[in-house]
Amino acid sequence: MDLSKLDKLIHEKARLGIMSLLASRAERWAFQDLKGELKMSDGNLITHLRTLENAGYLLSDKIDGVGRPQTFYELTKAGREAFGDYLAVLEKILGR
Amino acid sequence: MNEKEKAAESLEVIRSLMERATVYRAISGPTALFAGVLALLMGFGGGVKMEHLFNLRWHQIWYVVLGLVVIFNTVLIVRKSQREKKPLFSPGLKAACRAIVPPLVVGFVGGQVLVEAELYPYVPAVWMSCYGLALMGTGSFSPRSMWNLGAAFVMTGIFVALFPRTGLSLMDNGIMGVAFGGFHLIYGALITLSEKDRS
Repeated sequence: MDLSKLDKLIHEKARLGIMSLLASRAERWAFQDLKGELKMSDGNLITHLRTLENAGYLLSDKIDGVGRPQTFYELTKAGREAFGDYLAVLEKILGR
Repeated sequence: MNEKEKAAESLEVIRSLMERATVYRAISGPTALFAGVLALLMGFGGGVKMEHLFNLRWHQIWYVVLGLVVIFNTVLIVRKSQREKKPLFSPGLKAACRAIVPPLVVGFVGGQVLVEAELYPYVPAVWMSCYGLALMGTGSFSPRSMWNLGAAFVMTGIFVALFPRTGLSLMDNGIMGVAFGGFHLIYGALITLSEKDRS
């Protein structure tokens, strides 16, 4: 087992961070919370979120309320499975 | 860097991000040490002196201690949020408030009722049990040590309720000093040392 078996879409520092945060909670993550936790610029974060969304790994939901519109993100079933597979490959490499 | 090291690094990134997102320590090491020292001072001598100096009643001394610790912890939380450029009311802080505030309110009201009834020996029992329940309430999102600290307070509270002291101010101060001082100092020292080890 080697690193080439890892999902390239997830195995990128910024996207790995996004996937880890989204997988850490059952609740959805607001864009601002993701930005604050990952310390990324708006543009950079949006680009990576779109890449993951286009791959079917996450869902976005824009809420237009009284205040500023907010976008929330959560992992799809495929996203959770892909993240689980990614972790399994890492553990195999480490021989756990 | 070989493949194993790269994989270990990726796992460490995932672990630290997930931990930061889900684990919240409502009482930091410095706050626990500050609370511990203050409670020990008040429990063994300081409290009685303050009662005479400021003409305060026994239970009011401990309200002052609680107030000072809350101010100290708030300053640390504000400074941390400024340093890390994160919102003050983080999801972790909100969850901690939801878990901690209700038992503390019950403890405050219950303690006050016992004070009015002059059932002083039972006041530390109510305060300790409710404070312990507040800490245990954060168990689903805080480190195990926080739950253990809460359990220690609940057990001590039950013990004090079953075997109340004489009601003398000095004895109650001693119990408060041992529990709020001793437990916080042990907890603060342990997590400060473990965080140093990790860093």
